Amino acid sequence: MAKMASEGELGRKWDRCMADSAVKLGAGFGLGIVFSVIFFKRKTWPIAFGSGMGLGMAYSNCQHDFQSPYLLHGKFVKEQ
Amino acid sequence: MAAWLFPAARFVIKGSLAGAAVYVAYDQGLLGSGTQGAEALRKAQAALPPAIQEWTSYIGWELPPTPKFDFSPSDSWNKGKITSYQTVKGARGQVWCSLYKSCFNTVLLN
Repeated sequence: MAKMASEGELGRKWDRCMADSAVKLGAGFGLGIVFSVIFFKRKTWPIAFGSGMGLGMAYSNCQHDFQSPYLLHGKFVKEQ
Repeated sequence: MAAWLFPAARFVIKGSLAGAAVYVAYDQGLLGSGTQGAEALRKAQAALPPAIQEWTSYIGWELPPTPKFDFSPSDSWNKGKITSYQTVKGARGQVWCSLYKSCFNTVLLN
């Protein structure tokens, strides 16, 4: 794999975040539709709930990704 | 037949369908980390045009080729500003070079 420039790492994280947000929103929307049809008599709120859950999961993943430390020459050491 | 049997069976079937939907979403990596979600989107982008092509040929429709959709906000962010600056920088270099040449030629000739 070719070496990636370090200054592009932030851009790649944003790309990952946007892609993950789209996927999570779609998955939450889809699962909300499934649950709405199967259990909740075609009401609208499960769809909104599922979409919101998907967005929340995406936000959490993005936050974790942006706050993760940039490892240059180190390695993770198990806590004593 | 017991009266509870039909509602119980209906609940089991509905629960199975809902559980299967959740499991498929989890198995495809839609509910995992950011990296898995991005990978799932890439796989979907790669799989969509051939699937559309196959279905339209099966039905008998003629559709124009699917446009390529590249999901990369970081590439397009500030792209106008960067392109403008590169153009100005290149133009400034060309102007300076032509001025330098004309001055050099003037000094040499005189």
